[in-house]
Amino acid sequence: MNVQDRRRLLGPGAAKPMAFSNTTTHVPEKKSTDLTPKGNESEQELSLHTGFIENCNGSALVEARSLGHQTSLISAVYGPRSIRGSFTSQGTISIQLKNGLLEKYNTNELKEVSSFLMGIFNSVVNLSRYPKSGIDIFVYLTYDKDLTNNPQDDDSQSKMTSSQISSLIPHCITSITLALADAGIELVDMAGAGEANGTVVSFIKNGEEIVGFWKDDGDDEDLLECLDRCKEQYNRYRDLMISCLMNQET
Amino acid sequence: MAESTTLETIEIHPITFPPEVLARISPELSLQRHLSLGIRPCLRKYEEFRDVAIENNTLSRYADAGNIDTKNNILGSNVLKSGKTIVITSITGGIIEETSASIKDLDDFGEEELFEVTKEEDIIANYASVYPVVEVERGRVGACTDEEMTISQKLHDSILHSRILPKKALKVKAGVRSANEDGTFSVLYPDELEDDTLNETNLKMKRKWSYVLYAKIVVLSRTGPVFDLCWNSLMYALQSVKLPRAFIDERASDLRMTIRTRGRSATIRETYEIICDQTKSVPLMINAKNIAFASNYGIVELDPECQLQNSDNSEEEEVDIDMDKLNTVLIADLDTEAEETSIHSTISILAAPSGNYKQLTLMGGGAKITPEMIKRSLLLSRVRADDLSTRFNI
Repeated sequence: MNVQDRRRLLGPGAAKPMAFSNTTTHVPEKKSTDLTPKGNESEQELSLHTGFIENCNGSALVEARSLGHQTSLISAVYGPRSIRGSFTSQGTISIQLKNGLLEKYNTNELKEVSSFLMGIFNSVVNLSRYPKSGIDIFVYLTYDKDLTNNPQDDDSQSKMTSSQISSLIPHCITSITLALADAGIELVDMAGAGEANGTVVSFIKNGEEIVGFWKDDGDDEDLLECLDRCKEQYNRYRDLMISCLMNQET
Repeated sequence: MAESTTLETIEIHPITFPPEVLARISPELSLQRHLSLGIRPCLRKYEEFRDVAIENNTLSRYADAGNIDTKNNILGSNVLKSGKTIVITSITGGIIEETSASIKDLDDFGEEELFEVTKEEDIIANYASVYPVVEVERGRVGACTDEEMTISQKLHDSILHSRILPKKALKVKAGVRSANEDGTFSVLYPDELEDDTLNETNLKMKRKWSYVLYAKIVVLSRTGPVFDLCWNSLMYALQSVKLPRAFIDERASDLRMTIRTRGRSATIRETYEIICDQTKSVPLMINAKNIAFASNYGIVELDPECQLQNSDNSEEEEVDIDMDKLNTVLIADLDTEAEETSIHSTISILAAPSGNYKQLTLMGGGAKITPEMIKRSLLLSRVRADDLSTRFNI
């Protein structure tokens, strides 16, 4: 960005962001014990909350914590609210993903994910019920970090982030679905998703219908096996979502 | 006849609204109705503050002392929850090279006058501030709102003038990284060495750096004015900040080359980056006695016409009401839409726990601010600051 933003206090232009050294002699000593088994989805703890943001129509917080990774994201649904301009027979959905505290993902990645999510929720929300209205969904990736602390060289680090954003997508879908339900917006069915090896498959209707498919990196693993693993996760997430919503009612 | 029958059928029902609908349609009336019962729309008493729950430093790279999160560049953080509103503050840093063109070095005579002017502001010149960016989430995209801009600016100015952050605390005491014989690197910090072999004069560097602190403040679930919450959250976050140690490579610590081309000579200095230490850090030395906490108050006149009366003795009370004598009340910690939109006389105070007031803002709009009100709010803000200051513990 070359244009100076005069509306925000961004500090002196000559200041440089802190660059942390990659190689210091002190760090590598105490990391050998942190060899957690990779991809341990079964040990993932998930906690879901809804309706804690006051100035929106529906909101949800999803916190996932596994041995190696901790994620927390907040979704807020604003709408259905009327849109300007001419009549439309269907509602429109917009989804914005926002980097949280750790500015980890670049805007392109986030845009890509949000358009993927938009594709899913265009088919999941019963849009014909909301003519001339817009539903704006904001997903705020508050917190997302590795708990295993091994300093990596840049190459593997970039690889890590790309696989991480795909592991985030199921949580995004879970939180958006919950927030939409919290806002009282009519859905065809609870959408959920699972992730396996950078492949994300989103299901509705008890896993009978696929509403979204995302694939990073062309590992030529067996697609059907991925599908089964995703479906397994989808079932688990869906059960959690339902129990969360049921508990909230009482 | 037909006309009269139609007239007869018209019945006017008084419309009643549920409280939350009334609050949207007529916030003023809703507020007055509540106040007449001795409570506020948020069901607090007049001088009751919201409780504050905080979580310090859980998001920063130094959150876990034994295990530093190397991919995290947050130096200090705070999550503050007050009522329904959540404020997340994270402080990140940058490094700026100080230019030596200080005003005192200038030889130009014309600058003398300017120097005199700035001398008065010299005390303030010894203090720095943070650069806050406030984001209030309200379901819109696009440019920042006026509120976000004014809060950011006010935070910046208030920190500077509260003299919380001395410039001295932001100076980088840079170390030097040198390669050992076996190919490993070691970093020496002049102030850490006990022997005099490599004391500061030995490592004297001509260039100076200082840290720059940025604060990102995200407000979720805004229900009322948020400056206070942002300020308090920023205060907590600042107290948890740790600055990473920084170093430069010994080969680059003072390298100058004079080159000569086509009869002209120029000096080339090697450009090198200052690098932050992965693990070592020092706590930010802020002026702890100047840490202040914010609180706000509103003043509202009770409207006798909006009083809710008991049906039994309504007639008696009717007589008592004196239209000339308006009753004004002081309301602490404004929240909810009703209070925000219909209370225009406000007092905003930054108070340090020792009874050291840092800032007082009075806004007269409608209700009269009496000296008693100001005294009362000063007292309350001090009590509040005392309470809030005890919440900080790492």
